[in-house]
Amino acid sequence: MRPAQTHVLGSIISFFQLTAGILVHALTHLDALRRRPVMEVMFKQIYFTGIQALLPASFAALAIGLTMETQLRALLGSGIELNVKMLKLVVLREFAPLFTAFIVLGRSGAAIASELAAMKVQGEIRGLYLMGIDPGEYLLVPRVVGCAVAVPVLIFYFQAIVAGMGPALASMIVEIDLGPYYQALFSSFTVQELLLSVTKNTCFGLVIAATACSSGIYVPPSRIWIPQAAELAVMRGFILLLTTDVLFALLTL
Amino acid sequence: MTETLASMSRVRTSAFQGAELRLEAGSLGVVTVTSMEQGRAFVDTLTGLAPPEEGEVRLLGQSIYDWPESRRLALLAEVGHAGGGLVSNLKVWENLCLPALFHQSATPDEVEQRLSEALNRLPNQDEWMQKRLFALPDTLSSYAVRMSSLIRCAVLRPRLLVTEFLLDDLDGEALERLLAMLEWMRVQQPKLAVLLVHRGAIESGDSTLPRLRPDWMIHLEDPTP
Repeated sequence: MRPAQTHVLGSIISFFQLTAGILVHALTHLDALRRRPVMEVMFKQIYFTGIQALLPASFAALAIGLTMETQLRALLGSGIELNVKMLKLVVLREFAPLFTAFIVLGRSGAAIASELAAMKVQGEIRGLYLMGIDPGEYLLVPRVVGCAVAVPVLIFYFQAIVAGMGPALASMIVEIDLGPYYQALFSSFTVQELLLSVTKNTCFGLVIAATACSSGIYVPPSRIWIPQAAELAVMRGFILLLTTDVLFALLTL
Repeated sequence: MTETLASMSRVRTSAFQGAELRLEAGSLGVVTVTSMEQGRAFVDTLTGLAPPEEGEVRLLGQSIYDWPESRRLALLAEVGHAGGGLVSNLKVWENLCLPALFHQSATPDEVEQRLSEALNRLPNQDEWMQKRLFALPDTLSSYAVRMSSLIRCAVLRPRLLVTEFLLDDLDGEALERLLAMLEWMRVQQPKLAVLLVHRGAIESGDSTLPRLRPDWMIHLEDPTP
């Protein structure tokens, strides 16, 4: 293997090791959340990742709900059963979680990565250590947990708008009998599907946070790497989210 | 018997050599360095962040490199660090309370009380209460950042205070205020040991250092190739 290829492979391996290490560290140090400053950082992360993303998520969900519903109706005709099945399998199960995760990745993932990279450049991580504050506990645990909480809730919100408002808006354009449609849609969900959905969405949150944290910490301590950290977080997060989605899709075959 | 809080014996790193020191409870020592890199390397070595190539480092009576990182961090909870190092995405008041609240070394009420006492020592406390405490650190002057990091230590009430370039390149009123705060902290905590890391040579006639009446002063040597 050529030196350049070896270098690239080495970088990829060390990045995955760091990302996995961050995830393991965060999940094995959950007791850090008993400390008030750590808890505060977690609440801030939930606010930035979840609540501040409500507006873009709402807009995207309304647009997708309306578009998908009218397109499905045009493609499949007025049969409720097939429409509901397609909406549930394609839009709610696959498209909505991925789309929401991409919104979070673009907003919070990039922000976390550039914030941590800036802290590294400015020597703040060293400063934390000198005060006896474990940077892993103070910086990583609350971000990982915050994303793991906020992302599934945001995805559920997105799915609820797509399923609830999409058909309602579409009914103003095409003819949809909403009563039987909603009844068929909501009675088609099983507890197992919901649990699997929550698990997958939580994994999305963990993947976004761990990738963003590792991208922020991974870059060299130089100012020019701060925007690069955000870019790395988004690109690597994009790949890892798709990989996670494929793995879950294979699991449910 | 007086407790030794920090000691270095025959320590050598890639940035300095020949560090021999012994800091006892209630005393004040000054380490002068030739560059910021050397000063940082000294602080990193003392606090367990970077192991030395040779020699022994003891902090709060324990050989710091014998402990796992979690224990080292617990040990550092009793060490204050002043000179900068504020977290940029926290407001100044959050920075001041952070170590004490993180280590749960004081209740929120006690933290507020200590913060209030420290701020009362400042001649321009209204400005601090109304503006600076609610600002982000990057809006502060170099003096205000240093004062904030010193107040943060006053809130934490450590057993050992390590200052990193706290008094460097300052003069006039700013220097007087920092010295007054440092003196006040030593009066409040008579057993507080202070280790000042200062850039500049003793021989150069630096007037700040003799005023502090240090118990000892050493100058770090550059490593021989």
